[in-house]
Amino acid sequence: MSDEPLDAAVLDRLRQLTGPGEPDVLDEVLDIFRRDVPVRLLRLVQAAGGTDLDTVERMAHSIKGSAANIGACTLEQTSAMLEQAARRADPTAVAEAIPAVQAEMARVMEAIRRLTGKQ
Amino acid sequence: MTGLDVLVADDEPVSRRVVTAILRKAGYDVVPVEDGYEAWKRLTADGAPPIALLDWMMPAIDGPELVGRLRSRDTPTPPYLILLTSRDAASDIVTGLRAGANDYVIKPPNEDELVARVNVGARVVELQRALADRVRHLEEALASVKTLQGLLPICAYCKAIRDDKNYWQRVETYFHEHSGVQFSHSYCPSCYERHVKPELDALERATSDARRQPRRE
Repeated sequence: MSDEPLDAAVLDRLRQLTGPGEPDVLDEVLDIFRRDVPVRLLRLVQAAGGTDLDTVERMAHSIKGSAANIGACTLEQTSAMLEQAARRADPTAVAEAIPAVQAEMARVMEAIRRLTGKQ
Repeated sequence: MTGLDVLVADDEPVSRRVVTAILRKAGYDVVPVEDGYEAWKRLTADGAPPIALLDWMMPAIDGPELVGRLRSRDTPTPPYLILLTSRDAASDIVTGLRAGANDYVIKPPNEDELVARVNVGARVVELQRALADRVRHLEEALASVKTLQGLLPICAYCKAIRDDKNYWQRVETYFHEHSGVQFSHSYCPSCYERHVKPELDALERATSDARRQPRRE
């Protein structure tokens, strides 16, 4: 596994899904990710504070899915660990797993900013 | 294999957009929806997409429950249902297939595999439609055959047939209306000898007489 937060091969495949005369699929997908996924991480952190582990599990599951779709492999792995901790109803493991997801999310968002030139 | 509608139900927007893009590139018309309830509404409405990709975890109605509900409906053309499930939930697959799903795809999907599996669905849908059409044609044919069964009152002299509204119809008209048979008129050898030949002979005699006795001015 490379150190890059986003897998270039996955990004290439997304770009190639663009049909003739249509907006770039990669740009669109990254834009959706940028607007949607950090919000879910916020909800996850709030839910963890109130020990609502069902919401933590659902949010972690959906962040994992989004991450896998854009080749954010490390984010996929860290959120998978967080999802499993929530499913085991293990608040200590959840609290320990959240900072790794947050740190990786920051790296992914920075990589998206570099790719799309959007803030 | 293109132009078919495919419903994509997934509450996770990144995945929904990627699956939509993959299927559009493969030539399908994609109907994206955000939850199980919206999927249920679309799949039970008139002109419903014949193929649906349903995410396992969705708000309102989840994938397996949606599959179960759709399978409990009596329809001649049931939709082809593919469940989308994450890699670590692979043990759920049996539950999904038991609920009535035709297939499943692990998320995030590999482009070629997803398209190949949806193409299988398209083939099944086409076969199902052809079969449903054939059954309908056979039922129609059977219905018209039934109208030719039983006792038909027929005139002993002119062979006209009395229909169920008490009208006397020529035999050709009656059979055409009740079976779609077209009559092509001709004559059998004995009728030729008895009716046609004497008429032809008479006609020939008349014309040769006319030639022998030209009209005077």
